[in-house]
Amino acid sequence: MGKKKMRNKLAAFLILVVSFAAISSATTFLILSPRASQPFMAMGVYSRMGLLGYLEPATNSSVTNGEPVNWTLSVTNNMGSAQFVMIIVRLGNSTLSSSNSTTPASFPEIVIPERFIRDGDTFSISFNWTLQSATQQQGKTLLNLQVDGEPVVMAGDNFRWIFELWTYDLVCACFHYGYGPQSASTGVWLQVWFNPSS
Amino acid sequence: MLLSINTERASAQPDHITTARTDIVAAFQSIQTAQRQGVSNSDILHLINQLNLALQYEQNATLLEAQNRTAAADDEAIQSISLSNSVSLEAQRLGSEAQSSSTRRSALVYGLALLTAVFAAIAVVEAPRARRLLAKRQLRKARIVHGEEKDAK
Repeated sequence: MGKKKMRNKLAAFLILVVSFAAISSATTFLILSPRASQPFMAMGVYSRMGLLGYLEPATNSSVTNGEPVNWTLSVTNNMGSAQFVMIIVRLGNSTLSSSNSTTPASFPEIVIPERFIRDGDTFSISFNWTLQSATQQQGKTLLNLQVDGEPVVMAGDNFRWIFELWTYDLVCACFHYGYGPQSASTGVWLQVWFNPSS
Repeated sequence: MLLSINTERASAQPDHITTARTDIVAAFQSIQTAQRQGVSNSDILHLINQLNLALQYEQNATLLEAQNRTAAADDEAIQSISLSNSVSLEAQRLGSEAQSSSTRRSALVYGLALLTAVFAAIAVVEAPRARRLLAKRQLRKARIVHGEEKDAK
């Protein structure tokens, strides 16, 4: 009788241990697991005042000859790990289309700064340019610009700056447009239109 | 759409600049591995700053090479290589430290969880006996009131 009671007690003990161990292990796993979050990268263009290009020349604004325009590009990394990023700055006109969420633009690359960014960090770089002259030639406007000290020439109309975010992919050992895996990357780009005025 | 790198670095002294670029990427890979192994974001900050400096040296080297200042370009590239190699080593060290400490912490926490489960099971199984013991003790402590005393009152 005593032996049977002991056996039942042991069986109950083992069942309880297994049940409690399952509950406490699951709780521990939940506590130790990192919180799920949506990875993303963002980019912004700011004027020196710290504003997102509305008060300074930004969207369809007039840019005066010889007047320096000082902008700040900022990139935020929230991908959960450090990222190697490159911003391609292009000068566009009406001849070709802009970037979109999957394809970058094919306008000429003017400057290509690169930088490593820690997770959760934002880095800023300055982008300084000056319109040297804007002359009319055969119905088109010929722009002479100075970008970060280097001369840039472009003809056409509907001028705009295009900023594209590219990230380094260790799998292909190359930069690709946007962030995330190369096969399913999300394109990040901005464009700022301007009207040259003398 | 891909943008390949190292396309304009075939002149002058490409070896050091190419090595600098390769080492920078290797250091970046080490940092990402270290993060996966559990190195905290604050520990990564110093490494990222160093790697950005290495990148700066590499870009200076490329610029100097384009100006045919080979010796200066080499100096910059060598500085970049040295910096990114030290970043790689530091990232690997931090990564293995973080991994072993994470394993220790997990073992400790899961061990505690298991111990709690065992004690909880003992508490449940032995609860009736504990209740009986408690009742017995209370009974022993209780004052015995005899029948005559009760009547006298």
